[in-house]
Amino acid sequence: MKRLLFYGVIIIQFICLCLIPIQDQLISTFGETIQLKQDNHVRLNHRYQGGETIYIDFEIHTISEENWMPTEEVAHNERIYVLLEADGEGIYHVKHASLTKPTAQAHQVVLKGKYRWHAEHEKAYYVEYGFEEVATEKIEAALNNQREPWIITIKMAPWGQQKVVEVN
Amino acid sequence: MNRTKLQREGTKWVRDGVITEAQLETLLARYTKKDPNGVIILFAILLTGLGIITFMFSEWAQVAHLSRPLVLMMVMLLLYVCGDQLYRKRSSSLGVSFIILGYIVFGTGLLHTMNIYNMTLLSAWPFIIWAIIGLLLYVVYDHKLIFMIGLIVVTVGQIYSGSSFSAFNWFIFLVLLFGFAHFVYHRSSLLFGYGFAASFIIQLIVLAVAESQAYYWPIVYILAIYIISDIISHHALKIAFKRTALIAIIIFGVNQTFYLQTAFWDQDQVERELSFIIVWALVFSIAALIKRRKKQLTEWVDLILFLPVAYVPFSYLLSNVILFVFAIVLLFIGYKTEDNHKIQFGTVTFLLSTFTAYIQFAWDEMNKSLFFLIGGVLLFGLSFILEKRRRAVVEGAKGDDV
Repeated sequence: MKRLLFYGVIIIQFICLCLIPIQDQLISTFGETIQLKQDNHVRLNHRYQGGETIYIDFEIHTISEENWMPTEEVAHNERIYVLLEADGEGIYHVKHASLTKPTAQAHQVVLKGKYRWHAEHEKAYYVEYGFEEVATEKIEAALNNQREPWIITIKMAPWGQQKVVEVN
Repeated sequence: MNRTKLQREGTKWVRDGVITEAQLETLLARYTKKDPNGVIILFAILLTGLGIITFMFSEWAQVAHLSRPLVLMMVMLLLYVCGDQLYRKRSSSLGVSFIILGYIVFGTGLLHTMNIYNMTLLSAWPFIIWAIIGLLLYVVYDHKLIFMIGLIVVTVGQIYSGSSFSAFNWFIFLVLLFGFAHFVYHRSSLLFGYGFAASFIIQLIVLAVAESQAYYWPIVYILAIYIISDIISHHALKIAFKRTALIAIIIFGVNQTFYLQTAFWDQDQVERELSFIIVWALVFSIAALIKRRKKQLTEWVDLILFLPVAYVPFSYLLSNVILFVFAIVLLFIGYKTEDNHKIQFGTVTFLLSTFTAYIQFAWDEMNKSLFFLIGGVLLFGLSFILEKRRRAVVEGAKGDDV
């Protein structure tokens, strides 16, 4: 009996470790593609982290006060739903942010993020999404382009995971 | 008493003619020497485990993607198989240490793989899996080290949830409450009791912080563990829970004293919630009822530590006075009943509350070097007096035995 349990436990651990690469593959297959813009103001000083990943500042990080729905104070790290809408060129911008999940219409998507802080002078709220750290190898091509904000292509899985696939 | 102490004392007894040489030998034979290998193995696990953890979270990320989880799985499998073979054929403690290393590789590997695949985490759920695996491994091997590592995983998971997501993870808490508590109850060992009570209190403090509750809510949570210690029938658990609860509430009390002092000039800083008083009154009366029922006269004093002093004017003075009163009553009871443990506990609390009061009132006024100097001398003096009293009691107790 305990033998069986031992093998069972090992198999469970194997499955857990395997599921992560598999779900990564599934995002590529089933994910919806959206394009986001890098933040204009900070594009020249990306924060290098260790050298193998680069932190990208997205335009959707800052949410202006008029697009901010919650009326009460939001705690640091609290979950925030951000509704994005595509413009004419297919790039998604923030429509509004709220504490409850909004329903997305055509050309709209909902991202889950974590509230970070309120920037008083910019009259904006700052939200992070969890896909900011991008492997340097994906960015190499874009590193030469320092004049215009980068366009970042992201795959969104229906189960709420996202990953960066391309940076231009 | 341990063997070395018995040998030292025993030689004296033989010299004084209390017992014969042969009797001492027989007595010594009853005390087997503890296996020093156990400690070495514990440190070996600690060091190797820390090595694995730091390696996982360092710059080991240049390798191509799929190869990394594969390497992890191979290492994990190797450790588990080695551990299992050793456990069955050679030494059980060595085998278990390999199993623990495999367990650590699994958990850190899980987090690491999520990291390299840029998985967005919005709650601490990997820790739930990690903790449950720990429980299952404990079922297979029934070794206390595995259990304790599992307890550490649940606790760290909850702290991680609090610090990274500002959220209390109820699932992690339920794993503790239903998974770990089951074995704590049935094994009823002192070690498990301490571990469980500490994890319980730490997790609920995370709850208080994450939900931005007022600072005094942990009183109720710690009181809950205290009540359990009164109800539970297993002796070891009773002791472990009670001591952990008392240590926690004393640390809380010291913190509270400083907090309330800084808040003294700004009375609005401390919000006095009605809901807390209602919950507290309910829990406190349960504790008091049990005390009355069990007729534990000498333990009534424990309850004063759980009073909500924040609701009274000059609360920072009061909270320190309570620590003093507790310490003095404990010392008094200790000396009266010649309970050495109570005396020790009372002594430490007394020193702690003296020092708290000293910091409270002298920190701003005095030259810093003078502050430490006088503080040190004060503690020397106190410890000298208390130790003298304690020795008198211990000697007295020994005299009675002979």
